[in-house]
Amino acid sequence: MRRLDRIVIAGVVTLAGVWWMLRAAETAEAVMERYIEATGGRAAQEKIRNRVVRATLEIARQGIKLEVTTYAARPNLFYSMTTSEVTGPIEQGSDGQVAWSRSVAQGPQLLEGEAKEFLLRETRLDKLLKWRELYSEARLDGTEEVDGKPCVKLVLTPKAGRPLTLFLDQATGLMLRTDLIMPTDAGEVPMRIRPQDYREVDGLKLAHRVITEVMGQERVMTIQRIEHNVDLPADRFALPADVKALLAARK
Amino acid sequence: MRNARAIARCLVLALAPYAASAMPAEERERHLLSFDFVWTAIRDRHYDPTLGGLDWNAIREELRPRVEAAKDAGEVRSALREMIGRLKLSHFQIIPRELLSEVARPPQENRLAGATGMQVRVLEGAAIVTSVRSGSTAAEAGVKPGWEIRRIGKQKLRPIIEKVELEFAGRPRRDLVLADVAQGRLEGAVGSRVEVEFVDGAGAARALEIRLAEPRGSRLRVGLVEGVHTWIDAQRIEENVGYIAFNLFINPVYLMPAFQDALQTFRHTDGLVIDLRGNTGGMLDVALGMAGWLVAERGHNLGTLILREARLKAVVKPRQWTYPGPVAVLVDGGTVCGGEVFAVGLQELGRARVFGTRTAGIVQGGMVEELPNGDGFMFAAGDYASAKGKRVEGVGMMPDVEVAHRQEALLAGRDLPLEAALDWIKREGKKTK
Repeated sequence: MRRLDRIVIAGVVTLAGVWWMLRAAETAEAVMERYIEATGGRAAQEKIRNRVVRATLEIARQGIKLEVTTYAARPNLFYSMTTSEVTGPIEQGSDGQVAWSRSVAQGPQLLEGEAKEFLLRETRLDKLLKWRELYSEARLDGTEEVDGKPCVKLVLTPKAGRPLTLFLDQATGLMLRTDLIMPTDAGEVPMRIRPQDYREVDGLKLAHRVITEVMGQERVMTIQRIEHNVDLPADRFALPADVKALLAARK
Repeated sequence: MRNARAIARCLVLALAPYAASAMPAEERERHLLSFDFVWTAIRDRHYDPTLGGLDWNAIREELRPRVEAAKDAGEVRSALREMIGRLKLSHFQIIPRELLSEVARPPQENRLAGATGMQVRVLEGAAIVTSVRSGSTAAEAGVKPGWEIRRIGKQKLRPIIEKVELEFAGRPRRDLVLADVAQGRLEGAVGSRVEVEFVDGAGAARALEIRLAEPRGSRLRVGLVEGVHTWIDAQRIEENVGYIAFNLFINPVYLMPAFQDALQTFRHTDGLVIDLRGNTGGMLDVALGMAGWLVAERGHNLGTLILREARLKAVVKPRQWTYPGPVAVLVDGGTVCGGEVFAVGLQELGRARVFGTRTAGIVQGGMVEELPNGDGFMFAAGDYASAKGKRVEGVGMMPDVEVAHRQEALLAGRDLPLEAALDWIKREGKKTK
């Protein structure tokens, strides 16, 4: 009996060791694929042609609240409108080639260099499906807890720009945090993004609350509505006239 | 007898610690909490996480016992001032509780609501009216520039001015706080009245009751602060010089179109005066957006914001059309934050010549928080360096031409800083021709 016990214990220890080794040998690629699976899988992602998100953005402890609407469509079209009484409308967009912004304070602007690359890459609707094309390297960087949940750290290095670190929940595969450095024309801005409140929309698991920590501020985005495959006007992603004029003047 | 002396000496020695601890325990606790608050705030929130290489723990070990042994609030302040003094940054300050209300009135007092339309500055120890807006309630009451304000309500101003001058000696923020001694008391609920005793140009005392009216401009709630009024004035002066003045770099929806329209109207003028005296700053984006109408070439910035997490260039993005003429900027001790960045940035780019007096040196907010012992702790969340590396926070910016108001000139209807700017524009015009 005692011998049998020892055999069972030895077996369990061995199996645990093998499991641990397999986990340790897990590739970054496999972790990324598991993440895609956790969000609903490739098939569900493939069905999405465009996405419209309506949300509010609050800057904690400052009493500032903004309304946000974003539109994204394949392959890499993007438009967002953020507005409040204090700032007026602030727009950002891309027709896939040109990245631009426009605000009451600064007027129309063209995004250039890494800031442009960042917007074109990180706002892509099919970013997860095309991750091998968008990032030149994916590597694992150990584990770390986020809100008490053990996460795998996955570092993605884009073809142009600074790496970002994804913290993927070991239990669910979902992303609980991303650390990144956002390039702007003013300089690099470190950010920590914490997606929360995942809910299913059209077969996809999507965060409905996103907390962004940036420059000592905490910005809380609460998503009210996510729609997919909406009939969008043909000119939704067209460059505004003043952005076109700016582009023409630069050439 | 010798024994009696020895006993007396022992008693003195024995009582010494009690004499030092004469402060009630509760008060001592509040001072210690204040020390800890300041020490922690600097450790956790200072824009330079290395604290200039100081051993911050050692400083706590060294100075906290002085607060424990302090006999009065003065000794506590002395220890706190020594601690923040080790940072060698002039924008950190401990403000005695008796003066705190002169520096930081809470927004709930709604001090931005009613106004008289007077601008006040302290000149040679006296609160002097520097401008009276036409159509304002002060103008209706007959107030003239150059008059001294001797008393507001029951409060005589000279004694407070004297105290503030002493406490803020050598600090650029001094002018702002001094002006606020009067200006802050001239604001209150819309419709209420304030009794003001003036001394007019002839030296006669005049007691007037002035109604506080809704301030002009566009009213907006900005975050937690209700009722922030932004105004902009634009007019052609001296035949062919454009003049633009505005009080804040806030509310771009209201401000930017008005600024743009004014520039378009003034596009063929001999020069432009941008009056930022008393401008209390606001959104950097707005300042940069305005600079975009004045700077034609790309690749320039108005300096760098230094935050704990990032270094950000204040990049100027030229507009498709820019104002071509000479630009003079007027500043004074009431020019704060975005106004300072705008002025020093354009000055260093050689795009504007700056006239007036040293600015307030409050680029990164110069926040004042109340400590548990009732004193104020002023600190900056970040720093700012001009494009040429000049520090403005806690120092202020110096104009190219230093020229201040003088009471006699104000009484004669003259604005000396504006006159200096106009003279320069005339000379520049002649050079161009």
